[in-house]
Amino acid sequence: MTTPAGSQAPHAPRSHAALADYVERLGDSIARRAMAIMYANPFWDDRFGARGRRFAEEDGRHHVAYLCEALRQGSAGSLERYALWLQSVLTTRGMCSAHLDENLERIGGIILSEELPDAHVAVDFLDRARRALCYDGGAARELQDASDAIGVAVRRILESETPSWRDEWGRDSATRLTANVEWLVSYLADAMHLQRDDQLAGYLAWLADFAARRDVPAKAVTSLLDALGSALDRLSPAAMSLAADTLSRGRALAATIQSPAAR
Amino acid sequence: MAVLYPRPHEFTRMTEQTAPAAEGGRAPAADQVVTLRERYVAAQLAGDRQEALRLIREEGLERGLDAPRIALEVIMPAQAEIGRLWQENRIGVAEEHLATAISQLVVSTLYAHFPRAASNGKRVIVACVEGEQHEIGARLAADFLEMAGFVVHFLGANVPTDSLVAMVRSELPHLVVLSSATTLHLAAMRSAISRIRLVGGTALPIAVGGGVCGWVPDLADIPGVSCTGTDVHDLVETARRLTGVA
Repeated sequence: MTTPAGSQAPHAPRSHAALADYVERLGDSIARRAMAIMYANPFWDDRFGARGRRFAEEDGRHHVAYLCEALRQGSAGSLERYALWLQSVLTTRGMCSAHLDENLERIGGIILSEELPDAHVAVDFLDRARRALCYDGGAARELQDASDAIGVAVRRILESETPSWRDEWGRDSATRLTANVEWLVSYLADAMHLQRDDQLAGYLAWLADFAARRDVPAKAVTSLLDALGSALDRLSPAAMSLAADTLSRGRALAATIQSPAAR
Repeated sequence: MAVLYPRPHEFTRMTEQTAPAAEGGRAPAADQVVTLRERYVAAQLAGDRQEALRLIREEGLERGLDAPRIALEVIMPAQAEIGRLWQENRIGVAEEHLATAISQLVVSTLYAHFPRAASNGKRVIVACVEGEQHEIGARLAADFLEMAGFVVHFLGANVPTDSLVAMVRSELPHLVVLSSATTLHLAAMRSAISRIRLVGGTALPIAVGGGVCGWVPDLADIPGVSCTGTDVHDLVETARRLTGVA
């Protein structure tokens, strides 16, 4: 059993109890507002629906509760531990790490907008939790780290090999492409980490269905995935091989999925 | 997505210690324990209570595996495995509850087989704090304290702080053990500790256990906490020391 270090503890963390109390009082509002911002993008409603939003708001309240407890402890450790645990729960249930990362980022932005005293401490804790979502080495981590570079490469490849891509993706094509690649890379990295092709396949099947319902031609999704496959050459040979194999298996599996709904 | 919380592995640790030999025979080998655990998990996943009970009785107790060892090396690791399967979305909430209900039944049957030392007269209250629903680890902590001779009141899951404090006031325990799985109920834990301190005084030791100890390494520094940990054997030794049992 561990006993208290006592008042002589050399590096006793500084509690931010007052900030925690502020944030806690705003907890429900913060969770709802973060979801409102995210659900302004039709992606969220289509992929997860009203039920998903209800659960996500509930999760948002948990995020805030864990943040407040970490603030009271004066240490982000328990929030990081929570983020890591939640990542494993959500990435096996149709979400990707980037979704959780975005939720934590939105919560931080809302706390900042409240202009609470020492709000930067809460944001710093949330940032640490976001960093905890980066896998601890390996090919999946390498892919996470290369996400932005791969996004740039995918766009270049599409510009070069599929000049019609802007027309195919329609309004806000560049913005949609950026988000799609970020999420694709995140789903791919999660699938590699979890060794769960089915998680990537579920997303790819939904993406094809979503695109079709928005009059984006099937060949546009195919071109996007082909470009992603080519852009994986930014990775080391070992990571590229693993990522390309996982993507390939995910695409094959996605083609067999009849009902892509993630709800 | 809905968030439920992992089963706590309260007060448990896979021990390497050698189990006492069965009467007239050798202690069960580690691989026998592993096999029993795997078959037990399979019975849980099948929702087969009869098979789970049969396994523990015929493949465990009747083959010389003592009840405390079954609790620590079969039931709790099985619960950890069930928690992992839920976490990875291999099973749903209903299956997880079904499996856990089977373990609760099995732990109840093991109770009759636990060896008991003579009473040392020291009273202990063991409770999961308000809101905390995960109780198997705390229950085994209570059972192990009782085996060691303590007089234990086990209050189970989600004990309202008001009721907990009222019981401390009426029972005047020599030790209070509080359990929580994660930091989600740490606010309730803090409240319980401070209020128990008010009625029990500073001399009443308060131990904190459960999964929360793995989430908050410096939990022992929360004002009012006497000690923290996740190992039942450590808990028993610490309880002896804190209550002055020789």
